[in-house]
Amino acid sequence: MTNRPPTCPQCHAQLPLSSPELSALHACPACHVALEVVTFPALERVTASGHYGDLVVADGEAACFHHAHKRAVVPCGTCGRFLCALCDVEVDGKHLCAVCFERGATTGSIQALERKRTRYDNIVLSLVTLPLLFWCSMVLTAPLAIFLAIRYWNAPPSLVDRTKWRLGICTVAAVGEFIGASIFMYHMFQK
Amino acid sequence: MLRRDNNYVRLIRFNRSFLRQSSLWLGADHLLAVYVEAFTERYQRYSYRDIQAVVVCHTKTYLVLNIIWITLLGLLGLLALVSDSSARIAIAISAGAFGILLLHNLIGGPTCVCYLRTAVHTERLYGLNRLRKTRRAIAALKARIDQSQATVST
Repeated sequence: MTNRPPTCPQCHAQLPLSSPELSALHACPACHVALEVVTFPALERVTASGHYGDLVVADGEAACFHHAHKRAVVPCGTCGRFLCALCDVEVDGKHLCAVCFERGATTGSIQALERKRTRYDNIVLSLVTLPLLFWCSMVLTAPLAIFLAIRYWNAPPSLVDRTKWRLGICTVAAVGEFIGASIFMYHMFQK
Repeated sequence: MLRRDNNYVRLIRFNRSFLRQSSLWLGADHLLAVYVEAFTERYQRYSYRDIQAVVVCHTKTYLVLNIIWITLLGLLGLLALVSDSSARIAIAISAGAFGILLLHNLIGGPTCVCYLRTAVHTERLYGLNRLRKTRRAIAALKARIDQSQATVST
């Protein structure tokens, strides 16, 4: 399969396909916007077609769990079902079937497939800083921030920032706010 | 400076815009784009083996912003000439704010948009919007990609 030529991000005009021509390009030939193109060997690589799986040719040969007429080439790394070349999905060096791949993507057990994470430290930070705008909200936000910090203390942190210092500082601040709010409420009801 | 982490090395710092923050990280075999929107962190991975080209397109945002801030500073200067001393304090505060924005733009340098191309798609890298930072990031990325694609047959 041949590669499609790259296009100018501005006007979508086709740019030359060969690496030397692209690297030497300083402006789009069509709209003349200044461009810098850095190319890599993969641009010259001819994309190989996908595998369909070989047919079972002899009796007793291991067949794919999903395609009885296709030869099994590898077992699923999670459930152990035999897979043909078509069904085999390779992730992080592990061979998986489509079902285990889907389950891994849904449950987040395969890190390479993880698409998003909730940042509980950001939620707690927002709850702790909200009283700076509406100070009386402290009565509600401080206990909620403490609850969330404790509840999600062991939740997976950011993929790239694995420290918990922000959550820790916010928890201390929330406890301080809670004590302050409690003292304030006590004095208010004493009067 | 690149910051070392357990799995990822930071390529560029979080770039804050109005609605989201974005940053780029170098993984063992992929480039990771992280987008923080409100309380959710989204991840986009680009395998080094699949990256075919990085296209940097120069933009006029740098020039336009400079013109806007300098014009506003000039207008405030003219206003200061015809104002009394009490109004000049307010004008000076406003001019200071615009001056900081102008300085920020000048320090940031010329602007650009950066696109990463693979065999199947072209994606914009939102964190790379200043030319100087983009060139630095591409140099670091190039080493990883070249190493990863060294075995790719042509």
